Amino acid sequence: MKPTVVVTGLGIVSPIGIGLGTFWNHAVEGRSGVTRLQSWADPPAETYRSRIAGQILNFNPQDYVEGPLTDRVDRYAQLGLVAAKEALTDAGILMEKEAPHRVGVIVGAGMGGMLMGEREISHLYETRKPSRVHPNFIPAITLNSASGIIALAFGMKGPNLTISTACSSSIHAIGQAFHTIRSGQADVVVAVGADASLTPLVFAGFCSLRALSSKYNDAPTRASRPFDRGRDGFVMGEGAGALILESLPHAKRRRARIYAEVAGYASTSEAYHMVVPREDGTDIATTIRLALQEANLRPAQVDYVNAHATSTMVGDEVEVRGLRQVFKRRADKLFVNATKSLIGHTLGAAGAIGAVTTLMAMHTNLIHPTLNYEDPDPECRLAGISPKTQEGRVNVALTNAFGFGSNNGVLVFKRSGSR
Amino acid sequence: MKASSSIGEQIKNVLAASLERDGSTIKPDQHLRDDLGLDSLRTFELLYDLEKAFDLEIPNDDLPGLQTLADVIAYVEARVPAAARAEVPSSAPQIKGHRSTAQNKKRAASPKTTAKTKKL
Repeated sequence: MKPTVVVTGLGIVSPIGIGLGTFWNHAVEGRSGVTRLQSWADPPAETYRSRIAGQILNFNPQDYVEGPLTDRVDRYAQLGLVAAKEALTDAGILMEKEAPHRVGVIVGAGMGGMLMGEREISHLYETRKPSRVHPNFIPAITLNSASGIIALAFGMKGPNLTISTACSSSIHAIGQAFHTIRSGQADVVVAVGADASLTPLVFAGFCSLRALSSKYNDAPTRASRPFDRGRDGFVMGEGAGALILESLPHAKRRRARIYAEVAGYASTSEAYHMVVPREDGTDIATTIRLALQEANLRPAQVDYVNAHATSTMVGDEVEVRGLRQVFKRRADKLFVNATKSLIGHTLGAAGAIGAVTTLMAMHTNLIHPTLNYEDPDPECRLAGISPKTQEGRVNVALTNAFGFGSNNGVLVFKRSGSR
Repeated sequence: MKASSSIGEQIKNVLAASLERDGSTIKPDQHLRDDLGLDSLRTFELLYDLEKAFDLEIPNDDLPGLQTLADVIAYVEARVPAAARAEVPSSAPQIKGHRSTAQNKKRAASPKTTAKTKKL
């Protein structure tokens, strides 16, 4: 029989707080982490269409992780490492008591080491001297640098993988971690989502795609407004989320605190368009149904959905259409919120941050507000979306994440011991 | 109106190259999405090409007004100065990755380049 998989530890680095306690307090307070763009000086922010972002200001990895490792990796891997360390501490995992080959690391990253990549390309063309490219550039830019550095930092010798599916990357990192434990390959997997690509080039690229909000450059905290009629694109963010997934027998042996059970996961492709979701929402609905099927749960048992909801015109509408197809009349009885309204869209980290948020909602019975939900768009209105914090017991919850490349992922969490 | 029509031709050529079809089959009254099949990404690619070719900045707020090819041509004509228009070589369609109008202006203004071109 396949073992039950539970979550026993959480960690987060976000624009509204480094560390779970600060993040969660600020989330339920409805604090925005969106500020004027200040991640680089040149080209000036004024030259970009969008001039706001969910930035982690004053982050210094040495404040959280000792040793020289942090100097040699890109910012996204630093964020991931700090989140992973917090999750391990939160779970009470002591590596000296674990069999190293039974502990794995799976990271989801959409963009990876772009900050270092852009810096080194600039060096090369400014100096025209190939020898000025830093020797650590290649190890840092390979997409598995975060999963590598986390394993190195803690001595984890089990499965070590990186998944890159744009904005759904870390929902699949958690899903694959779940399956890795279920199939008996590991007892514990650290599942991480991390991205920190607030860089001149990546930001310009998203501006050219006209995907970013540009109407609220003078009012940053109002810019990320999922489901609201006044939304005009997403706000780019950075961050990392980490979860410790563990087999139930292993967690019981350690007498670990259990946040929830990972009950189901589904991964699909819409095979439709590189950046646009299928308008009728059927592929999203199918993904949710498949995840519930794996969890052996019915739509009527779901209480809460942490939506992908990026604050783009089309994306939010399509997600609600998908939810309505699955949940029918229950769609208006679900709690639904959008974490991106607080911190912007952290790309590859979004799934893991959404999952951390989902588990905290189950743990505290609080659903954080969806900021700027002032004028509900009739195309994506649901009764359970609120600009205020809501209270309610959550036994079963979904976390959604969808990515460029026609990619969808859904996770189902269930209160441990509930039916 | 020769200069204006050359801008129209140029835009049509950009569009034809993007759609990989004969420019003569594209009519100004055609709707970019409904008739020409441009999805959002292809529309943004077209705007990118136009911004580059005519050295323009097309803000998001202006997008709702750009529904048909005629809308796009009128929009660009209204924003490209007459002097610059006259210098746009109508025989040189500017497709993806090609020079902007500003660069063309520079080239046309440089006697050195002109002489070199003549020699060739």
